[in-house]
Amino acid sequence: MCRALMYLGQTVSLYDLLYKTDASLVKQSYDPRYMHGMQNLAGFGMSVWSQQFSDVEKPLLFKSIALPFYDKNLESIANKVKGECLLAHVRGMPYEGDQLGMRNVISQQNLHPFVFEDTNVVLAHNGAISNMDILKTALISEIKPQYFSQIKGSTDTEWLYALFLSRLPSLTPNLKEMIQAVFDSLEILRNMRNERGISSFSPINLFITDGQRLIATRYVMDYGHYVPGIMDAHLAYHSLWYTLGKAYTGAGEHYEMRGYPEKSSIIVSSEPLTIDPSSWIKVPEYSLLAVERDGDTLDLQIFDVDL
Amino acid sequence: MHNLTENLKKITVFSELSSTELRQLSGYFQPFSCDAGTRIIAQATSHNGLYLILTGSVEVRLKIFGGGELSIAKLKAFDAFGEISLISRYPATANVIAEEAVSGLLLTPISMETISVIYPQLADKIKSAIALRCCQRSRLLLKHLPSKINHQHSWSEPTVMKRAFVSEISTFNITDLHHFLKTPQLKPLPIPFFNALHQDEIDILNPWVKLSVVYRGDDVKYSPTDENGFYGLLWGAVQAVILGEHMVKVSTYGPGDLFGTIEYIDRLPPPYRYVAREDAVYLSVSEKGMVNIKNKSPAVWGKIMRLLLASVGSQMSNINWIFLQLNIEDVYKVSQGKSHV
Repeated sequence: MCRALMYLGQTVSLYDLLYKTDASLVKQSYDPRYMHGMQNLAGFGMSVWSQQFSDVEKPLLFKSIALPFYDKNLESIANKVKGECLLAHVRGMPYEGDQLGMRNVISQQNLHPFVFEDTNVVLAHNGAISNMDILKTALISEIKPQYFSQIKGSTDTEWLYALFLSRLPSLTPNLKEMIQAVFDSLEILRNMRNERGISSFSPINLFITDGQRLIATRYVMDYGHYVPGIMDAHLAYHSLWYTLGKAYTGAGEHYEMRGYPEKSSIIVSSEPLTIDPSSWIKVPEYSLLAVERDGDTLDLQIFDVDL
Repeated sequence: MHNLTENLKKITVFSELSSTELRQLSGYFQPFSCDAGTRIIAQATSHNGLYLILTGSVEVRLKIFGGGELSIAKLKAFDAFGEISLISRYPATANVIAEEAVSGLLLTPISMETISVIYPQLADKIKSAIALRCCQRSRLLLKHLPSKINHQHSWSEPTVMKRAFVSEISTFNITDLHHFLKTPQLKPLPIPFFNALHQDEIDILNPWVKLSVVYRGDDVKYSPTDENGFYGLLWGAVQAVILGEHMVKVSTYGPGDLFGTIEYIDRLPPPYRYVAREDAVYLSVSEKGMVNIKNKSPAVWGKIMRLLLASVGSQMSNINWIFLQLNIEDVYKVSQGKSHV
């Protein structure tokens, strides 16, 4: 459930990233191609970093529970704004009842990406952590009070975000510290589950950025350990792709990353933004992808996630 | 007709067929023709079947990561392409474009299914030959794969640790397939392998299936009884990896996936290690078991074989995809000769 997109690189129109292609994120809200039995109609959110903005380090945050393909405000903003970094997310929720202990509450407070006060690090999630209601009680002791007090919604993701921020040594972390905080957070979660005998399938594809660096995970805790009533959308290992090159350009719907092996722009996405995936690479399962600017070039690394 | 059967004999995947079988097969081809410049197969889309060129020529082009296309082969009269589509529905891994006007013959997957009903042994022979070609190509690509992993794709060495708590697996009855499939955790699951089989067919399979457990971090190991067998994952996760200076993750298997299929088809050592990423329960069926299943019920054997062949096709597609993305130039070097699309 959910689809997300991160971009870091040369200045690009938000409209090109969000709308233009034949499998764009906005289209993925009603027609995801790599997720069966579910749509992502529970809202849209994005954070954007742009040299156009007065404070270039602070992201513009936009969230709306309106359907993104009907949202003229979003379309208008996307048409006018260009940026160098974007994290966008369309939220998917079970249609009825609770799934994996998640309450299907549609509200602006539950929309991704999450960003707390005093930090530029934002986080979105494609997945679901099972039995989160049980884990929340235990997590309180692992979350710093200043972050705990900012949790406003009912999602598993916001708690995971607070846990992640609590593991960072400062409000302006470097890439290594961010990667370590992700590993630490997942390990805490894994240990808490183990202690409570929770061993059911929990996809945790995270998307994290501060406008200068990106981290994404393709990770499922207890993959293949299903629970009765699991949704079709959760049966497969959640997908994650990236495309890398000089710039994301094209005409009409035929967009692709061009200019490789020059590496100055990257898109990391739950699924390719084009029906033809030829110019996209799958992030391997059980992996963490990390990207950082090194001058005009992007430095990309992939780590195994084994917790 | 004589000319056609002679020409079919020249195609690798038909080379082992008898004259009678070639005659039986020849009736299922349909004519096709196209103008110069036509894109006969589009990369990343489903394709229509096995094409045999009678006149004209085609060019095989790979779409390159980062934009543009690379020409990797030119095929002329009596060359064939697209055979993988007869065993797998995975998308084409290259574009095929008519260089000049082309006429020829096409064997579609639907025609292949008809052959499977009327001449099942002939269909099995053809599909097995295609699967063997897929295995050969997969191994060729895998041989080159570790050296292609560079900084950009540097997957660090795994530090796999077993979990400290008692696995849920200990609560399963893993002595018998029937009992195992009735465990509450599995009941709601749409496991493709078993969905393809009826209850009475599982009865036929059951005596020849061995259920085993592998714990997180351990390798799925061959035992003498498993020799020349294949596996089906029932619970948990197993990953096919090549470990060298870096780790290459080739495939991740979940419940319902078959693995060990390349080595089952080509009878060579496993091309990679199978490491449990989560505690897992898997079944294994030995070659001896398959022979017994075939004697008892050719229909069940045929169903299992079709799943195996499709698995080989998907493995090749996966490996091909990884390889293409890692180093496009080397594909040209290892793909000389008849193209495999």
